[in-house]
Amino acid sequence: MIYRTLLKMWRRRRLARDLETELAFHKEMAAAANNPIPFGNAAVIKEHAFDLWRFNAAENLWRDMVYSLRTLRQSPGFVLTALLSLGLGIGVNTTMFSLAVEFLLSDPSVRDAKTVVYVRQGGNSHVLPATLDDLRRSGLFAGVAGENDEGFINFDNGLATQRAFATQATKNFFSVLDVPVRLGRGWTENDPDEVAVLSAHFWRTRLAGDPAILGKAIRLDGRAYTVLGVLPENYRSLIGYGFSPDILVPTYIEGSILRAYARLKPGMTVGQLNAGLPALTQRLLGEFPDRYEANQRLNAAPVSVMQQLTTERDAMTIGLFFVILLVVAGLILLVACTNVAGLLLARASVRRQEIATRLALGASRMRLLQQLLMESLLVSLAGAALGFVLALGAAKAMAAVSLPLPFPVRLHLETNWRIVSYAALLAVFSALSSGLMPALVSLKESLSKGMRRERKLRMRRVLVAAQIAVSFVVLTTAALFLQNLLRTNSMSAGFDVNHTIHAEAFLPPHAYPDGQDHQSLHRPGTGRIARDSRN
Amino acid sequence: MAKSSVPTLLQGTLDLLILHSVSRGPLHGYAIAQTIHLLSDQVLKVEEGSLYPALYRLELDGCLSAAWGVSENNRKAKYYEITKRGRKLIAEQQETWDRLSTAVDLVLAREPR
Repeated sequence: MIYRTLLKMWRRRRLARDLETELAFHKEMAAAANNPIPFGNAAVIKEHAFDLWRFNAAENLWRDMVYSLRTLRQSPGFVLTALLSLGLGIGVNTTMFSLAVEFLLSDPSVRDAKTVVYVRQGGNSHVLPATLDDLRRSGLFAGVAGENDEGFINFDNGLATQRAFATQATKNFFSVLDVPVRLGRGWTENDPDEVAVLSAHFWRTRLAGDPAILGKAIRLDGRAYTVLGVLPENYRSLIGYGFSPDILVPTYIEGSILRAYARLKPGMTVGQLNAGLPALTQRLLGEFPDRYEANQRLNAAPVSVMQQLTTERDAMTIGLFFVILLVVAGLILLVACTNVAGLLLARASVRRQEIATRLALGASRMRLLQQLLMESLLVSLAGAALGFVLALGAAKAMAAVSLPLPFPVRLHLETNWRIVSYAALLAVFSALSSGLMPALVSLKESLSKGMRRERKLRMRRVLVAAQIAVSFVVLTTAALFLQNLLRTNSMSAGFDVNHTIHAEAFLPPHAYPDGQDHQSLHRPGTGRIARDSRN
Repeated sequence: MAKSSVPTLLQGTLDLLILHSVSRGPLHGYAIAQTIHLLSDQVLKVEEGSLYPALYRLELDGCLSAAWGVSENNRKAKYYEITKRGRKLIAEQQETWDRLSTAVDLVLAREPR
């Protein structure tokens, strides 16, 4: 049906030309045969033919749009208010939606995230490096890699030493997981230990985006590391939630515990793997009683967020949180819509005469309804466009601002088809929810004069009541969130936090190989503080 | 449209007449009008004001297919050809028409009570 309509639109010009040629031919033939030459009005015939092809419906739509634009231009106050209400409402919703998409639907940057699992031992997030070897030898996986995200490394740019967030990973990290690299490549087992892959952010901000960075050496923890590659701008770490380390390096702290990530064998599901893991635990327990415990079974969880949502309780909680956020944002849009509905209702009484006249002249109610809805659709579409621009701005701001957190979180809110279609959906939704009721009311009341005031007052009251109710819910939710935030801030740490200093230093492991060295570094300082505070 | 002396086409019969005219082979619009005119012993006259909209409608409905060709006097003309669907429509409408004309004949042949 839609295809046919499009075809017709496209053919319209050709149809007109064809018809003209045909009629000219007809006249000529009639003249040649000495028949009476037809007087028929060619325009009327054309009109008939076009009617058949239903061009008129499309033309009516176009006319409605032009007419609506004209009437809207006459009331800039209404347009501005409606635009701002809907723009903010849709902007908030689109931003929340893109946040939800980022958190809930974006898989970590590995090839085929559905076949990668996160292997834990009991409830422990990290395992010993030796356990990785055990897992590899078990033959249950196509590959096992490990990484530790919680490291720091000292980056010396020649002028000063800055702390950088480092992820240490095993030598097979890139080959097992196929992490995409934008510039250069990831390391392989044949590379030396002192190589690094940089995050795009680190490369841009600390190294000025040096295009010739590949192969150069940077000083990390006092040693020269060769830069092998730069990660893509939208790299998502395996931990997720926007956690983005600055530098990836091969394991540099001897014996670091690691998060184990494994690539499933082709055709194996997470469920099948989990069914086989207890037996493996049992076997390993017999072999290495010092590394395994009977109550700490190996278990595997998917890394694909979509899969996690259905199996992992933590992910479900986060999913629920976003559902609440989206609902609250939706309520805000609803408030904006009732606002616009109120404005349209007020306009309706102004336009009563116009509508009554058009009805009297024989306009069908459907046509009038279509036209009234066209008006709110135009406003909503403009609002959606504004909201979309606001959401883009918000995404940019979020990417630029580093959140004041003790770990690196950077959000990459992407503008993709999902977000665009969500905004479009919201536009249609707000057009209907703000426009349908006032349009129906104005159609009805233009006929029944007596009922007019009564009904409109009731309508207004309903609108206001709805607005207050929704605002109340939104405000309560906001207050609850705020209260929680304040409460976590004032939570007691269990010791006197007012007279306590916390200092952290990250010592290059090769320069300070054992605890004795650490002691010798901090002992003089802590000793003096202790002495001074006693005096 | 027509004066009382000229019989007007009954609603719905034009389609049947057009389809019948092209049932022997493709014709252009003017030839269709002429065919109807001649076959009716010059009684029926199809005006182009009704002919072309009907042709376009039948084409849209898939009862006719149209193609540009060259006429007998070497002019570009649009030729209409009947389709399978058109032939089916002829059969249907013929039946309807037969029943209708028989009914009208019956009414006129009998004295009202």
